[in-house]
Amino acid sequence: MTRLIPYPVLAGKTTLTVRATRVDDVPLPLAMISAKEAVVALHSVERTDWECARLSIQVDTPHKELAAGTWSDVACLAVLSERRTNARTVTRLREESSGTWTGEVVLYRDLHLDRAELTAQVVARVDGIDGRAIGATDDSWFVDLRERTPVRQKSIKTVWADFGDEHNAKLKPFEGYPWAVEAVGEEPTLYLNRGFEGLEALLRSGRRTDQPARGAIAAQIASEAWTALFNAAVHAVSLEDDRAQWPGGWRESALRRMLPDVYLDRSPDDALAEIVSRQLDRDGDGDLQTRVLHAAAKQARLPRNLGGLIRSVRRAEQEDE
Amino acid sequence: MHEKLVRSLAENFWAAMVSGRQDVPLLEASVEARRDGQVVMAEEKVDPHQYQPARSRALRAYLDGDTVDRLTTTEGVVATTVSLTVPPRKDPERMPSVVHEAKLLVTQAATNDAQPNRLVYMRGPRMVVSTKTVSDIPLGSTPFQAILLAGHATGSREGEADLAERFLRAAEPPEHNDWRPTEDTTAMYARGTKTRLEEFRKAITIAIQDIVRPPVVEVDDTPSVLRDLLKLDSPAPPRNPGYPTIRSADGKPDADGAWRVRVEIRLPDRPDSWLLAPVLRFATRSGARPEVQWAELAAESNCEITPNGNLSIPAGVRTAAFSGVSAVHSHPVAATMAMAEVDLLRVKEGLR
Repeated sequence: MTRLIPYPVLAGKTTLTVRATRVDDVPLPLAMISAKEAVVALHSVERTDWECARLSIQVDTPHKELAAGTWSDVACLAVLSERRTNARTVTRLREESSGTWTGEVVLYRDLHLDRAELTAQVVARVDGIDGRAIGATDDSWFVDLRERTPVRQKSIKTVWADFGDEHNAKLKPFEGYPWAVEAVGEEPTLYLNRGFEGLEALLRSGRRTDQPARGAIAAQIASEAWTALFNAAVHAVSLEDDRAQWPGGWRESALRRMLPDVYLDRSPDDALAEIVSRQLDRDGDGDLQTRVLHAAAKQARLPRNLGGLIRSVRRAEQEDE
Repeated sequence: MHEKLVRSLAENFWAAMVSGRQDVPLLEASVEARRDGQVVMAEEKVDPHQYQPARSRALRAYLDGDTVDRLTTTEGVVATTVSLTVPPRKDPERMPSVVHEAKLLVTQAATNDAQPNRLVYMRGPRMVVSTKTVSDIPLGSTPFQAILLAGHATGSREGEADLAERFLRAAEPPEHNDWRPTEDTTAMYARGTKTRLEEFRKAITIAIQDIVRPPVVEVDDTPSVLRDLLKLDSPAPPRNPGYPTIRSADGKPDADGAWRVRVEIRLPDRPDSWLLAPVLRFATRSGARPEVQWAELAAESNCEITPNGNLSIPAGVRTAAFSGVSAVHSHPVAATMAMAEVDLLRVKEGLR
């Protein structure tokens, strides 16, 4: 997909920085704001009942280009949005010095759920039309409402639990199994059974001799988790005007990670469309499941991990002989 | 040469060049380059805030009394005190042991700082004694610059500050680049110089760690062997995709209000031919993007337009180009009022 714009836009870079954050007027420690990861971890220790957070931000625009161009009435806006809640807050920034814009973005807790995206837009009057977007930040900041440390990267949540324990009613049916995957709701969870003898000891073992077995089991677990996530995500794909729409959140991430391996010669959009059409096909989905298992195994690096186990078993056999 | 001079002046004398809002700096410097009396590079006043932004900011905040207790803003400067016990004097003055409250300043390093996490030791009239890397910094800490002001550098020339100043001066080797037991300290002070200085250094490190340490973090319970296999962020776009991509698209609305575009396509190597539908959509912020129709499509190189309006590209071709004009009647809004997106979709002839 390539974008065409019918009027002149900025070639220079627009960047955004969060300088400070106050949660209900209490300043957040700077360590909760990571400029490197472009993430604010808005989950102050021992505070969950806050109402609003104020982020002091700075946006730097290519001021020489702006001054030389044909744009007029240039303004800079900060946009705070979250796809899951459809929230969108726009804040006009003021130009502190040439090309440097600052302002305070207010994030209300009850408008957001998981993580809000913070971007900046430069708008101007172009060819007599007001408010046209002429520039935007390439990289967004994320304001995370669930994380404690500012990290950009997300991964599947893992929880250790004793499946046999009465308190874990939902896991009780899987008592005899080593792990279970829950691919519903806001966050997928991988449950590992603490009651399955030896599983925790092996996965946490630092012994080199355990490495091949540890790697193979981890790959097996991950492979099943990815398969479950993918299948759950496919069901969340909706059609709008006959076109498949990305589902957002972890479902979209799982699809985007795996689709290139499911259909090597299709672009992500084409691959998504193909999956949906296979699902609607009454003759069944053909080789889709085979392809999904392959893609999941690739995510889990199964071939390499299993290969390691097989080699070590062979070596042990040879030593016995 | 001009620039090098400015830079070295800033690097070596930044401390003396920083002043509070109300004060005059101890030192001002400017560089002007001349050749045979002719100015070749105009006079430039050395601005310490430009070359040593974090350190200069820290010192200025201290001079202005603008320091804070906790790092909450990228510009904030934390000030705290660290005790230095000055050993009793041996000489006729017979001064007993005193405790000097040295000042420690910590602020976030600039994002482009090549040498973060460093501590500058200073005494006297803002004389830099040494600059050292602070090790043992907790993982995930804020990158910082720190300044230790001891003796007269704290701003006081009396009492314990003056005694500490004299002690530290005695503890400097002839190069004035460290604080350690010297012949002078052995001659002038009772035993304990080494221990006291070590205690002082340790206290400084602990104070810095406390300031920059990230807040307590929930422990991630994922076994490390699994962690890498469960990453859920979106992958980077492939460098050599296995599907056709748009290498470049160029166009603008014409006088009739129709989009005129020219598109270059890059194709991966494969033994089969390709059938692609060129799609022009009007961009939206979210949701489905309205697709517009083509009034004309013309093959430019390495492709053919099928009767259904698709692009047929023979096997083995790696680049192709076509141009198109949109059908104005199918536009949801005037072309000049929206951004447009060009895309390529895989199709099977007859189905689309």
